[in-house]
Amino acid sequence: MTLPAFSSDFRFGSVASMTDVQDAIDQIRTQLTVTPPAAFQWTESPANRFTSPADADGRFLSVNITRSSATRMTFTVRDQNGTVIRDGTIDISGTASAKIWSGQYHLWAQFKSGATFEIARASILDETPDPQSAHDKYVVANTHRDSAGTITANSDRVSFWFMEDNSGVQHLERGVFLFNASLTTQQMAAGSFQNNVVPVQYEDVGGFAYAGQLYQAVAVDDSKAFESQEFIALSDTLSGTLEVVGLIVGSATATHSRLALRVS
Amino acid sequence: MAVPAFLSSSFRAVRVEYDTTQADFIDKIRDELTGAQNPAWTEPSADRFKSPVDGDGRFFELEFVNGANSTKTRCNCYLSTGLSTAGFSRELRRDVSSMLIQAGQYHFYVECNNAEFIMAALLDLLPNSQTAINRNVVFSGSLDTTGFADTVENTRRGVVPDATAAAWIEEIDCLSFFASAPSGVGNDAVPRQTLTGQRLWYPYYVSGPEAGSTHKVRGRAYQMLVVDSRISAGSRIQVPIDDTTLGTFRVTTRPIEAISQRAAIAVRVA
Repeated sequence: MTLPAFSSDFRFGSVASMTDVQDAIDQIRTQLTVTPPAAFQWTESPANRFTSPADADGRFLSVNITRSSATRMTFTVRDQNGTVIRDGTIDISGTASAKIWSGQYHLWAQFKSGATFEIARASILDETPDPQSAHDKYVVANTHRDSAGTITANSDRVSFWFMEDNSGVQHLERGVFLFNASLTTQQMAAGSFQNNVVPVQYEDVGGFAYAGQLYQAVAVDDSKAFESQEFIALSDTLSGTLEVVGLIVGSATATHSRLALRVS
Repeated sequence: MAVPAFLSSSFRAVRVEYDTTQADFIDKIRDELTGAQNPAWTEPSADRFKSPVDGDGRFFELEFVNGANSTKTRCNCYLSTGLSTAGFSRELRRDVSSMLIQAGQYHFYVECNNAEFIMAALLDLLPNSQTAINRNVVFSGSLDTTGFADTVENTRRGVVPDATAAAWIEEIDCLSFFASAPSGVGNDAVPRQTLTGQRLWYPYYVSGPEAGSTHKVRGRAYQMLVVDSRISAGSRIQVPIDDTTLGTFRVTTRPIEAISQRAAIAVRVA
């Protein structure tokens, strides 16, 4: 059985060299609104506001993407109710490259200037084992910088996400790929690496609860190089190639994990 | 989805009465392991029971001997290499007249109705070959060889082979999930329930020290799960083990170490 998290539509594209973020925005627009099959195409209305295709349970998100300047892209994520989950930016410096992972439930933009990564990300959560309509806190997002262009602490870590909690939208460490405190790696004693789904937790009154997992994403060991590609078994019958994104390990909960996204 | 290998082995649960003596206690275990189990265990020497050898030659053995005093039974566990837990043996107090035996071809868990237990299990090493390492057993019990609880009985801990399988050691972080809670997310570092309240469960991943002082996951104990410790001991929970099958697991009375160790162990009963 293939998990719902790996059953969604997914796309991967890149811009090899750019000095203006408009090149990346053009790639995003094509990848969201042109390349996918009609059922999985995002819509753009009004201009620069991209809305994901509603699924069978009516779930969707929207992202406003604009060129703030040649070196800065704004990325404003709203949930299905119009609540702003993250209003931020990512920058390039000099000649940069871009990689875009997208799909019916997710959009990640990674800029790389020299060896520096800046990432903007938005995703719906796969609520399995609950029904996908079990709750409406399913949109998570983050950007390297805030709307003023200031780097947001921990926004470069795999486990930190903005999400609407019980007390409102917060930036918290939510992704937990942790085994026990003694483990220094996700490699098993016999050699294989463990690759885990990426859970996201919601802060409720009195504690955290599991809200769902990211679509088309896997936690991999932090020995895996950024931008390296891994061929990973995603279920009994499905394998895929995933690329390690430029996010560093978590501060507390994902201390041996990087994150890889599906490319094929 | 196929049933995971660690849930595909044989299992059986039975509550039996005995007269509190060592002889009858062992007789009842013998009846279950060598008589009722299918595939059956064997008894290569008196009071020493050998689990069925699998296709990769894997097994473990449990030997029951007198404990620290007349009310206690001691258990020694042996690796397939013959390496014994002697020195790290575990005991339980059997001066009650009822016990629950949950066993199968790759696991053993006995719990007396005073909540004391002895357990051992082979580990499913997938996705690695089942012969990749021989450090493939986890063992524990309520009491040490002086007859006292010493924390090795806690869900977090256990007795496992060392990095070279040359000796057994008492391992603090035997339980891969649910150990020390990071400060970032309080005591719920690993999710225990969904936002809507559905309980989550995990394989009983067992880890141990490896060469170079690193600590790695070795495998998953057969027919055992890690569940939320807020579920009462003795409860039976149902878990989907494939697309169409529910497995029933009983939450054991094995002690929880501290508030941050929110893992209970559940063993398959149906």
